[in-house]
Amino acid sequence: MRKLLCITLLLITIFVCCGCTKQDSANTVNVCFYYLKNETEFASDTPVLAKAVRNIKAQDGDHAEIIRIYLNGPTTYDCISPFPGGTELVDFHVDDTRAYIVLSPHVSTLTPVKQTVACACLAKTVFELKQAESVQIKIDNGLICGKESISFHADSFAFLDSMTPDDVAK
Amino acid sequence: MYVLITFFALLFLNIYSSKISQELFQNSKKSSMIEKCKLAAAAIADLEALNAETAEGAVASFEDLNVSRVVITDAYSLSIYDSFRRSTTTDQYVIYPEVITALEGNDVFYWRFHGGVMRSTAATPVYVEGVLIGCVYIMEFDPIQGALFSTLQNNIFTITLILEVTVILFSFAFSSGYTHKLRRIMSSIRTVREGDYSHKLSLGGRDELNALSNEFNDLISKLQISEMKRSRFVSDASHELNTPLASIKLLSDSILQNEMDVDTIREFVADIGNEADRLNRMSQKLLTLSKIDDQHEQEYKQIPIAPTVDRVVRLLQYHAQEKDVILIKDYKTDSSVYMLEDDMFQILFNLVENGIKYNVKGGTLTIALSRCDDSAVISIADTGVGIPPESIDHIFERFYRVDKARSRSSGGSGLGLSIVRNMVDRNGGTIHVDSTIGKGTTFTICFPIAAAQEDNR
Repeated sequence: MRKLLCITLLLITIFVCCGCTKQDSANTVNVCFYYLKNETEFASDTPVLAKAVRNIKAQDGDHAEIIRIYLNGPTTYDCISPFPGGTELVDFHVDDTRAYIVLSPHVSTLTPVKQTVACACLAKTVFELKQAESVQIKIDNGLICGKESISFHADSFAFLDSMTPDDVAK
Repeated sequence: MYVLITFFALLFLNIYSSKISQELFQNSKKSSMIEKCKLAAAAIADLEALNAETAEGAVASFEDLNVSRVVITDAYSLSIYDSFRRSTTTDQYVIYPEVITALEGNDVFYWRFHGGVMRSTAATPVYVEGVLIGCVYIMEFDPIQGALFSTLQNNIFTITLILEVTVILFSFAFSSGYTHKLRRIMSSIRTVREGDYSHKLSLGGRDELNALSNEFNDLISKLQISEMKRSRFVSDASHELNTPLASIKLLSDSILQNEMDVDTIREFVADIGNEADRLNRMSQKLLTLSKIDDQHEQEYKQIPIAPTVDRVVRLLQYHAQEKDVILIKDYKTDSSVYMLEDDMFQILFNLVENGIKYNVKGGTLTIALSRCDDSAVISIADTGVGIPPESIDHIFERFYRVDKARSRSSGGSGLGLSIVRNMVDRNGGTIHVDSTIGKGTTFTICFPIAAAQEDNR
C-alpha cells in the first residue's frame, strides 16, 4: 500500500514537471512595435507613429525573430506597416550596444521621406527591445536615405514640435 | 418646454458664433502662414547649395517672416536648419506630421487654440527644377490674436449666459402670470357653474386673457338675464295657470257645500267651463310659444299679405260685430314677403283679435297695407283705450298685462303679443307700437318685400 502511494506521488510529480516544461517552451512576451498611423490626414498634435503591443511567441533573446514578425506587419486596422510588402530581414546582430540590421532591397522603392519614416519605426521598435543604444540600418545591395547605411540613436528623431510660448520668450 | 427650446437655441447660437469666428481667424491665418512658407521655400530653392549656413542666411533675409520657429529639412526630413535648435549640432530627423505631409508634395496648415494660446503651423515642399529637395516648416504663437479670440469667445459666452438667464426669468414670470390668470378663469367658471350669475371676472391687462375674461363676463350677463326671464316666466306661468284652477276649485266647492237652486248651479258650472276654456287657451298658446322656440327649420314661402288679412277679417268679423267694432281694410299696395305662412296668419289674427278685444263700443279697427322703400308695411290701428307709456316696453313680455282685471275678464292669456314678437323676429321683420291713452293703439309691422329679398340674394 505504501509502495503504491509512493509510486502515485512520483507519477504526479513527474506529470507536473513535464507540464511546466511544456509551458516554458510556449512562453510568450509582450513587445512594442511601431508602425504608421492608418490615417489619410495627420493631426498636428499627435505623432505619425502608432504603438502596437503584440504578444508573441519567441525564444529568449531571439530578436531577429521578433523583427521578422514586426516586418510581417500589424494585426490591427488602426496602423499600417511603413515597409513595402515582401520586405525581409537579411541580417540582424547586436555588437556591444549597437544593433546592425540589413533589410532586403524592397525598401529602396519607397520615397525618401517614407524611407526615413520606415527607419524611424524600425529603430524605435529595436530601442524598445532594450538591447541596443543605437541602430545601424543597411539595405542589401542598395542605399538607404541616400547613404550606404544610416545610424540612429534615441535622440535622432523629433516626432512633435514641443516648443512652448515660454521657449519663444527665452 | 419653451425654456428648454430657448436654452438649446441660445446654446446653438453660442457654439455657431464661436465656430464661425474661429473659422474666420483660421482662414485668415492659413493664407498668411502658407504665403510665408511659400516665400521662404522660393528663397531656399534659389540657393546654390542647401546647408545650415545658406539656409540661415536665406531665412535671415526675410525680416518680416516674424514667426516663432523655422525648420528647413532635406527630402529625407533631416533637419538642415532649425531656428529653435541652432545651438545643437546633432543631426535630427524631423518626423512632424506637417513635415511628412509637405515632403509628400502638399502644402499643409494646422491651427490650434488652446488655453488662450493660438498656435499655427504650416509646411510647404521645396522644389528645384521639379525635384523635391526638402521642405520649410514654420510655427507661430500669436498672443495678440489669441487674446483677441479669447476675448471674443468670452464675450459671446457672457452675452449668451445673460440672454439665457433673462429668457428663463422672463419665461418663468410670464408663465406664472399666465397660469395665475388661467386659474382665476377656472375658478370663475366653477363659481358660475354653482349658480352665482352675479360673479364678475376681472383680470386686468391688455392681453388675450383679459379679452377672454370680458367675453366671459358678457356671456355670464346674458346667462343672468336669461335665467331671470326663465325664472319670471315659470313664476308667471304658475300664477296664471293657478288662477283659473283656483276659480274652478272655489266654484266646485261652492256647489258641493251650499244648497242652491238649479239656475245658480248651472251658472256656476258655466263659469267652471269658462275657466277650463281659459286654461285650454293658455296651454295652447304656451305650446305655440314653445314651438316657436324649438322649430327653426321650416319652409319659407313667398306669400302675398292681402289674402291672409282677408282670411283673418273673415274669421273675426262675427266677433267684431259682437263687440260693435267696425273692421276697415285699407290696401294701398299689397306686397309679397318671404315667410312662414302660418306665422303671417297668427301675427295678423293676434293683433286683430287684440284690436277688437280692447276697443271701445262703436270703435274701428283699420288694417292698412302699404310699402316703404323695400319693406311691406302692415298697420293695425284701433280706437281703443290705449296703452300707458310705461307699459309699452313690456307688452311683448310673456304674461304681461296692462290691465290685468280687464284682460282676464276678456279671456286674455298675456301671451298673444309675445307670440307676435317672436314670430316677427323669426321672419326677419320689425314691430313698432304707437299708442295714446283714450285714442287708441297702432301696431306697425315691416317685412322685407320678397322681390327686394331676391335682388339682395
